[in-house]
Amino acid sequence: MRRIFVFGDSHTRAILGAVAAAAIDDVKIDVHWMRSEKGDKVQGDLEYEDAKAIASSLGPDDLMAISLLGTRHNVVGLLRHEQPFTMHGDDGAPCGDDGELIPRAVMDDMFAAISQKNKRIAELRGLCRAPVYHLMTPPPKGDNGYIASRLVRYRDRVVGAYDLNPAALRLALWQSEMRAVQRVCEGWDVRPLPVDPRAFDEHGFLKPEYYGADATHANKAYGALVLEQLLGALNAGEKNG
Amino acid sequence: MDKRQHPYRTLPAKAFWKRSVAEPARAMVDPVGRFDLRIDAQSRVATAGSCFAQHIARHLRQSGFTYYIAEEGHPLLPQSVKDKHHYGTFSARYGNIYTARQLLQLFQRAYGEFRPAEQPWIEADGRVLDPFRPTVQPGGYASVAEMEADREQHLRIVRTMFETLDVFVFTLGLTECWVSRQDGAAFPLCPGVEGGIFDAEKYAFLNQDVNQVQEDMRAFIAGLKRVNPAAHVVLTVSPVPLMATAEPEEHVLTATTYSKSVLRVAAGMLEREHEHVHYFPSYEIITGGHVRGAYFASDLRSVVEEGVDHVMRLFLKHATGGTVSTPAPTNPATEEGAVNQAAQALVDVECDESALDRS
Repeated sequence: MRRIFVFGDSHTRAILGAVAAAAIDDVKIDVHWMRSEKGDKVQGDLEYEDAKAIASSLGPDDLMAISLLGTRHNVVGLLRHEQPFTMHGDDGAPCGDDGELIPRAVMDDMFAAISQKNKRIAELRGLCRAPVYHLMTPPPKGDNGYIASRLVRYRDRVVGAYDLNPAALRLALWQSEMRAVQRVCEGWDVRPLPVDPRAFDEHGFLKPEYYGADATHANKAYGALVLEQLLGALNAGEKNG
Repeated sequence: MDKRQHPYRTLPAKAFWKRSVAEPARAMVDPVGRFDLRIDAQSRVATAGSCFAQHIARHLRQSGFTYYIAEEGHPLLPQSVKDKHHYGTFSARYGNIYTARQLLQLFQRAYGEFRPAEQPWIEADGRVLDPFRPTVQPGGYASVAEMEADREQHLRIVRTMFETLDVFVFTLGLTECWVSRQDGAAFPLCPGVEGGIFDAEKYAFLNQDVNQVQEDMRAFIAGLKRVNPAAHVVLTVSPVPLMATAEPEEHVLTATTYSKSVLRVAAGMLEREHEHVHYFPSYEIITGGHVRGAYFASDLRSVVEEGVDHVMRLFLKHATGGTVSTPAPTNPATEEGAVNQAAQALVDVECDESALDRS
């Protein structure tokens, strides 16, 4: 039976939920969250070394999908920086209320520099005989009120609504990181899997029907979109022999 | 003094070629004349100029002095990204400023006194370039709006820089430039070389003479004095020869001599005119006969690190009144005779001019 192995960060939870609901019986789909420990907090369910072993066992008719990059836009831009900054969005319009302008090419290079540091993706790519994809992370939620209602703290900061960056800036940051991740992945011979167009609202944000219950994640319905894409990619590989 | 003694009898050693140039080891030659400027570790020293100016910036940073970077880039950015996008190459992100005309216009643009008519350059792939800083941001700008916003931010920072610096070190590089026929706006590079499209009806070649350089520099010095009365200016002439000359029928070697001579004379005269303007002999240190060419790499253009060290060692020595005094190297790579280029260390600088000849 052909296999799909999904391995990565917390965004894989949405896909796991979709897999459980889909009842697919002609493809073996394993979805795992990389195990990590932060102080006394443990998250994830699969050690990286075990993921490497699974990657090595995949054949050319299988498919591997990684989700280890694409979350830095939230780290740098969910909350207002103590030295506010702004960018121009893909539409050329300024976003962000005030602060130092960081040109898009500069921001793209920043995300690329961060992404390049992750050596695991290239390592997994090197071990795996199957096509390897990297999942682009879900676009940000455009509703700052929704986000604020679900955040008390974010990365050691107590959050109030006024602490969130404007939605347009958060979107521009996500767009920048996705460009960077795409560039970096292509350099590693890893295929970027873009977000399904059905997931975007008219402004480029995540549609509310795909919102996960927290500030940054998507839900099982979004995971179903990704699952559909992965199955499509697997079948496309079959057609191409 | 005996009035029958001619003046040469009482001149110091540095006034005599044999004693101060021909005889000492090259690393010991110190051609600094009068240099009254004094800096300390807190002095904010800003730099601008041609490629050679980047060496000055680098050494100031490494020497524990306050190399003034007014446009640092946001703290989010890792240093590698800042370096790539020229935050910190100079004190603000203006890129190479080769001519007096460019410097004056930078000042005028920063204070709204000159608004060039030249439109942003939009490349075939959609990148937008700032004609006055075409290479400062690899990848260009995503839109005209973004370019204009960054330029506005940059010029605001340039104003802050001029108003708060203690010392402005300007390395004069060239007399040749290309200007807009419409309003005389000077470009760092000929349009079409690194962005833009050359059009002989839009752009004209200008090879500044000594009067033009002096006039531009006087205007700049006066403007700086107006916004920052306490600022000092250090002028130095880049020893780096021209990459190419556009002077009709001229040879690049003679064109180089012309340019450097004009700049050297202008710098000397400006120093004499203004108490707060100081000339520092980078040009002489690198190109003087005492060096026998050893401070140039095999391309006879790039300055090797030993030469840069010599310049900066003397700059810091004189600018601190001798309180900072790094010993000259006792065994430079080649003391006399043939130059061993292969042994010379070379530190790359970003030189827009290199785009003129990619052969």
